[in-house]
Amino acid sequence: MGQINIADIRPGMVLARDVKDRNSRVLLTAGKELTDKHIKIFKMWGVTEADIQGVAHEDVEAQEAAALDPELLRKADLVTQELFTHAGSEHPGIKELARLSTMRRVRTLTEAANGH
Amino acid sequence: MDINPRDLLRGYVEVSSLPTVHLRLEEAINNPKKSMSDIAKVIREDSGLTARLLRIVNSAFYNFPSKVETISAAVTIVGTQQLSALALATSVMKMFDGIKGDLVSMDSYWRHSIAVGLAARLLATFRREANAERYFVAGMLHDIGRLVLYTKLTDISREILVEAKTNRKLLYEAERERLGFTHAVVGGILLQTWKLPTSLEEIVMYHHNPKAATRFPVETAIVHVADIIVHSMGLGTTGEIFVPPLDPEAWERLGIQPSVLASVEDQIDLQYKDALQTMLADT
Repeated sequence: MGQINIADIRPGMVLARDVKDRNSRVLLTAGKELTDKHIKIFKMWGVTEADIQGVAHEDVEAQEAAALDPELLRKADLVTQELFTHAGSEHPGIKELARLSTMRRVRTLTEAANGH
Repeated sequence: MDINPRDLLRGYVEVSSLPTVHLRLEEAINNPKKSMSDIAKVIREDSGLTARLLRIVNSAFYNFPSKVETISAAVTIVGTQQLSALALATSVMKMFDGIKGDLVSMDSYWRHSIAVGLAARLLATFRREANAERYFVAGMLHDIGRLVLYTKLTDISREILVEAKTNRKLLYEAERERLGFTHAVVGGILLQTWKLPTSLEEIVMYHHNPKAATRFPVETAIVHVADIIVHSMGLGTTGEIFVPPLDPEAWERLGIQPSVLASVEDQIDLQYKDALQTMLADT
């Protein structure tokens, strides 16, 4: 189980823990299998992550990265590392920003390669 | 050579005071005897401001289902304090309109500033802070001290920019080494000169050093984190080329999970283009 970003949550996944909104009100209890409608409601109530059975945060991210062109990924990663020279890499907030930065730059590089 | 940041501003007549409409607006808002229509009247006396505000209210910034045609309607829908904050943001942009971007492209400068404004407003909304528009203003103005440095100390600023780039230093560290103070201090003093709320002054003054913000710690933390988010997204720059370091304590004060960052970035992407067009268009 692991905390999965709402963007990576798919129907059929099973909750490992209750999902609560920002007022700690329970929206859906542990053990429930997710449907499209559930995910929509989570987004509506500002839920940004959920604990999913049998899926690890790192796996989802690794899967996402594996689907990308390795050459572009390497380039994007270098740009991010340079950008984050003074920002460190330990803090979970910074880690997430660096990951998002790399993904953003892969998207831009991919668009440039496709001549957009 | 010792430079006093206050002297820099004393000799800078063009920005020494805000347009009077803001003082009158503040007075009207704080006066319980004044009605919403009185406040609308103050805004309407400045036709340029009226046009700029209507453009913002009708942009993706709010995404209202139908067009807001008049300032009276805008005051009712958006709120007086919110509208006053937006008025301030556009007026400051206008004040620095004539500056030539010899050192940094002004377009890039305002892109970064607007994006930090959007990010700060989104973080504030996420935390359900009242009047999220004041965070937009704070974000827009956070680096305003750099404009003063670039205009008043052009040659020294050029050297500082080169020093930071050559030796891969943070720009504000290079500023401190060379001047003994940073753009954040200059910005804070400028807002003080303008007699703006002390919260804005503290946010701007300590956006790189949120530990020192004792009166408005959460407000300052919001802009501190917003600046870091926008640097990592690479949306414009006011001269800095690196993502500034995060103060973990400031992060804690926000009480958000890292997973919030992806949705904040998505929202910035959605609003950014329209916000630029709205704010950067000529009136």
